[in-house]
Amino acid sequence: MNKSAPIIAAVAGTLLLAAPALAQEKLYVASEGAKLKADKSASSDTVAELPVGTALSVQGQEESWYKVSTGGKTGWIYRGKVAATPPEASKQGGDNLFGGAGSSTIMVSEADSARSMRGLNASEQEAAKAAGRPVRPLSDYKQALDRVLAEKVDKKELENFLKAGRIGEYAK
Amino acid sequence: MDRRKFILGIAATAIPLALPGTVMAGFLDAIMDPNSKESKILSGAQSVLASSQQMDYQSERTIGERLAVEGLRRYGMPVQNKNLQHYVNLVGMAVATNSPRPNIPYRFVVVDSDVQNAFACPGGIIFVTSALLGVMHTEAQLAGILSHEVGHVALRHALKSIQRAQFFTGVGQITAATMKGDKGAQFESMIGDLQNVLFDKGLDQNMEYEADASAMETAYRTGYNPAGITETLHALQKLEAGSTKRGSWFSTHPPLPSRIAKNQTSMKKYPDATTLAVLADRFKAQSK
Repeated sequence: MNKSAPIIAAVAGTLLLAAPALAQEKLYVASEGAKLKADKSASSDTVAELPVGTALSVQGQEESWYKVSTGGKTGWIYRGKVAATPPEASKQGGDNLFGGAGSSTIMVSEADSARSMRGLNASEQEAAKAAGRPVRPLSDYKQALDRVLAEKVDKKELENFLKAGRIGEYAK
Repeated sequence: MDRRKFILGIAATAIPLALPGTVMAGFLDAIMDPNSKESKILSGAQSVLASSQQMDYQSERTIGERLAVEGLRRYGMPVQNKNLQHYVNLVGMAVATNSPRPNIPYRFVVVDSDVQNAFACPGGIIFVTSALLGVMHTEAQLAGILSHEVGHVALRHALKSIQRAQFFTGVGQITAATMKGDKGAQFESMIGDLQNVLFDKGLDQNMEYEADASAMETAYRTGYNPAGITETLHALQKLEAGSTKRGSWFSTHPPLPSRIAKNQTSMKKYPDATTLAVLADRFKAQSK
């Protein structure tokens, strides 16, 4: 038997055993607004706010929290904020979950083409007929959509909402 | 295999089926001429396809807003209850934060409709009907449905559907040979395809399964019991026998028993699910 064969086998065996552990040593921030906490509790101090995609070295896990280090800082992160693989790069151009949605561009797109305007009016007439109501002017829908887009939730309010419901990292 | 070549391959086999021989010959002549109407329409369809992976957010949002107007028209105007609308946005944003696409401004709206349904416009405008809200009893169930719709947006399901369908629609229009090849018409055609997908035909069955799996994962990551989506599907199943309304959940989503079964199998991934938030009381108080 070749002398190196057992060594190769041993190395291969070690790699097989080591692979799952290695796979878990790195995690990535996958949620918006993730925080590195001083302790495994949402009420502990915030060590850092971590952007989506941040790589984390895992040092341990207790309950629903990972002990991790990143950029020279160590702390705890809630399990729901991380993933085993880095998230898809933000190539879609949307970059702000809590940002304003602005008002609709709907009139702009319709002004592009008289044809589309006619199409809209025709479908409104059909819809009104089917629902047994008067035909609404296009501006009613535009205003309704703008009110939907104007509805805004800010970070702090969302945090309080989760806290009040004892959801996720705020669970007791 | 190159995606575009694959699609062109399909097109090459589909065109002879779609057109009679004489028209076919004319079509081939026309398509050789880069300035012909046919050639322009075809290249328009290709550019939609080619852009499938990389459509910028603003375009996606513009398409979504146009569909949102159609959603308001077909299903109803927003329910006049500021508190309810804000509550649904809070639950929606809570799950969106932990979704596969956490970085776009989602908006959620409850519309006044007696048809049980929920749907998502590309770009993140998400609709739930008052009737669907009416079958729910907990915040975790609402979180499940909203996570499912966020999943469709995150995974770009509607756009992927029409990127497949668009090309064949284009071929059909060439057969009719009546369409003017202007930009507005192409946009309207795409909107028409999307309306058909979102409001009539429904998304591909596998996309629904994928959105269910994503919903459970998103709800779980947020801290809600991931069984919420399946509980709502159960409630819908009870109603199914009596409701076959056009445009309802039943006509735009795959059969409930297979989804419920798949979801129940997936629940094994979440052994501590029952320890997570359900919030029946808050839902009851806020959804009035």
